[in-house]
Amino acid sequence: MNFYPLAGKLIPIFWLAAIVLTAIGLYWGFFKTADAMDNGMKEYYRIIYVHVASAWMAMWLYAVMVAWAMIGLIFNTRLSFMMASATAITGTIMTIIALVTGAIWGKTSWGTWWDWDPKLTTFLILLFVYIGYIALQSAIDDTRRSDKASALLALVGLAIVPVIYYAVNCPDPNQCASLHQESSLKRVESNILIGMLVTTLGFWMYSFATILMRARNIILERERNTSWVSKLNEVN
Amino acid sequence: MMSAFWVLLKRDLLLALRRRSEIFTVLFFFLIVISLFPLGVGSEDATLKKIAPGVVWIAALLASTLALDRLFANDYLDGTLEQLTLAPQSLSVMVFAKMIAHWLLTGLPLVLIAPLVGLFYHLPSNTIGVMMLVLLLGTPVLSMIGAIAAALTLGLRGGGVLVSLLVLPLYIPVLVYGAGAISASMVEGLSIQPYLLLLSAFMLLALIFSPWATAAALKISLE
Amino acid sequence: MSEFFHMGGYGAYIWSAMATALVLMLLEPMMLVVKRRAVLKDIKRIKRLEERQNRKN
Repeated sequence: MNFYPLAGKLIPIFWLAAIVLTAIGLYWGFFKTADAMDNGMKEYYRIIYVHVASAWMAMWLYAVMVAWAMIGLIFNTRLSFMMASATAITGTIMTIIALVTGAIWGKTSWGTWWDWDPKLTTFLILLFVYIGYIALQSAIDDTRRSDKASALLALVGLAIVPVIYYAVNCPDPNQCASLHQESSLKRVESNILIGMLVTTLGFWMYSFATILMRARNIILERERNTSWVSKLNEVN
Repeated sequence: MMSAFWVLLKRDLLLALRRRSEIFTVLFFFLIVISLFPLGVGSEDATLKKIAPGVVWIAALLASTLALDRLFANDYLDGTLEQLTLAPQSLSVMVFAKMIAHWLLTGLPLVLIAPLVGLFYHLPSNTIGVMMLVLLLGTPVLSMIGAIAAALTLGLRGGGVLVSLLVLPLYIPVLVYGAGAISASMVEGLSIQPYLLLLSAFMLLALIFSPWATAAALKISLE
Repeated sequence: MSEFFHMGGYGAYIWSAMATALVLMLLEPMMLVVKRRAVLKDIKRIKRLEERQNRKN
């Protein structure tokens, strides 16, 4: 188990990077974007840094989780399953942040806390999918079975989530061609974009840090009876 | 290979016909949910027509979810399932036979009872036809996606609630286009063909992937 | 300064969004640390028990 001490060394580095990058991103977004206000942008766009960063992380972490699950199923490595389940909870928290900040954004720009807007709806369903994964994992006592079963569920989710996204985006296939959304990133003012991207990087570092912390907890819990754990400095 | 398929299909149907009350429980659950909505939402003609597509589909989702734990539970308890995984025939094929049997017993009755729903909700006759058609296309998908979750939660305590937590979000595409087709059929000049094509596509995808995924899930659960 | 926190009337929304993110992102690592301490304590306890058992034999 070389992973455990390595992760222990990496965690403080990731924390430092997370705090510094998020602070720079938010600073840039709050103070360097005065031009955007002249173009008719309202003050509430400042929610976007945290909202977009957490929304991106919610989706990316699902991909990371599925990747670990897939590696685990193919190579049958226990560490990948632990990483997959460590990723799920951080992903869930990112989804919750994205939903809450999205609702607040909605209140300021559309005047309602919740709108059945395709993107918000997709994130609500993503939350349900994450919760399903965590629920299945915690319902199975046998770790081997719970690892593999939840990994398979994550794979099935990966196959169906894009279909759900399509269905939510275009409930009426008669009009779909005209509903095609272009990516809104291109229209974003460059200073706002820098703020968003740097904050997202900070959130990535945060995710790495919490995932490694959780993975270390899972390892300790599962290997509590092995000799290498009882030789650790932490328990002596 | 095919003989194993037919034997298992026949066996499951025969077993179910010996316990006919189980088929009727699902059917009556569906009917009860359907008839609760007018009591709760109000029974004006326009309201009924507006909510009918969604109500029919949500009732169908719930009914098929409730029936899921029966798919493997009995065979798991008496050890038949373990024997099936050891058999030389492909597990996917046998799982597929069990899914078909499950759909014939829980999905098909819902399709056949649909005209009654149409009467309850004052739907025009062509809409009733569309409703039966989309239920015919959609309910097999529900059974096939549900089978994966049923296999994953095999033998767990509180498995029933867990299964609904896992599958209901995954049923959303079928719900959206199934209900959409019924609504579209009530609007003059709207084509329902795109809905039918999408639902058929879902069915084909489920046919390809679900037996395989369910077999993999069963192997994990029985390991 | 108060102008900055006011944010053209949207201050409450912006700061509550920031606060939600901050609270959740502080709570998560805090719970991880609590969990880690609990697991370590458990391991230590089992180790002590085992050592006592070994001394008896």
